[in-house]
Amino acid sequence: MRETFEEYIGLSPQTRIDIDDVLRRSRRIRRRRRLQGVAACVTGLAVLGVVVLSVAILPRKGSQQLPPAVAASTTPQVSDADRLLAALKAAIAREAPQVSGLDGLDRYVLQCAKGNYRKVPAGPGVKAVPCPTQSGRPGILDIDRQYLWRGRLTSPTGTYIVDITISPTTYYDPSAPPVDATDAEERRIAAEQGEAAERGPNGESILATNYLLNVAKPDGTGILIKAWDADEKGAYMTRSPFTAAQLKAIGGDPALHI
Amino acid sequence: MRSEEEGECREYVSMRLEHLRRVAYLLCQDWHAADDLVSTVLLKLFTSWRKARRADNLDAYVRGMLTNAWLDERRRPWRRERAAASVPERAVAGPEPSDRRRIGELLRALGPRQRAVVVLRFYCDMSVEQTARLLGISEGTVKSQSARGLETLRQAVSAKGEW
Repeated sequence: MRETFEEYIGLSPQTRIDIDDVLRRSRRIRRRRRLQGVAACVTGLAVLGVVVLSVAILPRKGSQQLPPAVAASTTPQVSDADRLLAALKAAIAREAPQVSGLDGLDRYVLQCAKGNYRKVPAGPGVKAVPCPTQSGRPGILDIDRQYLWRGRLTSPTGTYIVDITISPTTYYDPSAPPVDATDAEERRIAAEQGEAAERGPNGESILATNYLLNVAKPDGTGILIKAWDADEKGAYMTRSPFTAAQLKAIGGDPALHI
Repeated sequence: MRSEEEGECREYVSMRLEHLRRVAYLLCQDWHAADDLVSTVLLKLFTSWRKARRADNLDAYVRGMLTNAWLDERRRPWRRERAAASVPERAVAGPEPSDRRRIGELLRALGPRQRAVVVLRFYCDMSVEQTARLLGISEGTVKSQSARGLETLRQAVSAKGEW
C-alpha cells in the first residue's frame, strides 16, 4: 500500500518553505518567551512589593475603602488596538504638529469574502475572518493582530486620506549582507530607484517617502502608512500631510510595538 | 538553543523535509496546505528542539507533531471541509491521472482521524502501539479505525474495479 500511496503522491512540486525564515521566526518566539518570563517575574515582584507596602504603610479605614479585588476589577482593560492608536496619535501630534483630524481615524478589520480580503469597519461583535487556505489566497499572518485605521487628515496644504497598518511582520536587517544573488539584485534595483530600506537607530528597517512609510522592527512589528490627497487632483500618493522625516520619526516611536 | 543545536535541528529538517511534505500532502490533499502545515510544525520543532531530540524515535515524534497539528487545524471552524455544489478551481495543481485522482477521492472519503491512522499505519509503517501513543488514543481505537479505513478503501476500490 505504501507504494500505491507513493505513486499517488507522485513528484512533489517545489516547496515554498524557507527553512531560514522558519528558523528566524523561532528565534523571535524564543526571545519573546524569555522576555515575557523576565517581565512576569519583575511584575510579580513589583505587585508583591506594592501589596506588602500597602499592608505595612497605608492606614486602614475599614468600610470606606474598596477591597483590593474589587478595586482591581474596576481598572479599565486597554486593548492592544486602543493602546496602539493612542501611541500613534501621540507620535503624530508630536512629530507632525501641522496635521489635524486624528480623532477621525477609524479602525477596520479584515474579513474573507468569496476568497478575497475586504476591510470592514470594526465594532462590537465584528471579528476578523481569515480566508481558508483552500481558497488559494495566501494566508495573512496572525489575522487577529492586523490593526488597520483609515482617516482624513488635514494639514495647511490640504486634506489627505491616510491608511495605517500595524501588524506582525518578518524583519530583515537592511545592513546585513544579501542572502543570495536575487536579494542582492533586488537591493541594487531598489537603491537605483531611491527605494532602498535604511537601518534606523534601533535596528529598524525603514523605507520612507513623503507619502509612504514601511517599517519593520527587530521585534517583528510592522508599520505601514500610506497617504494620498482626498480630492484626487494630484497623482496617486504623491501628496501627503507628512514629510519623509516626520514619517520616519513616527515609525521609530518605541511605543508602537505589538 | 545553542548554535550547535540549531545546526543539528536544521540538518535534520533539511534531510526530512521532503518526507514530511509527502506525509502532509496525504493528510491535506493539497500542496499549499501541506506546505503551510509543515511550516507550522517546523516552527514548533525549532522552538522545542531540546525536548524533541530526547524522543526515542525522533521521526515518529515529528510525524506525531505533524498529524496532531493537522487534526488541530481541522477542529478550527474555518478549516472544516464543506460540501460544495461545484469543485473550486485550484491555483497550481495540475491535472491528475484518473487512477491517482481515485485514490485522492478515497482518502478524502475517510474521516480526519481515520485518515491520520491510515497514513501513519500504512504510509509511515508505524505500529499500532506507536500510532496510538502519538495520537493519544487507545490501541483498540487504532485497530478499529485502521480496519475501517482500510475496508473503506478496499470497498471503494473494488467497486471501481482495481486496487
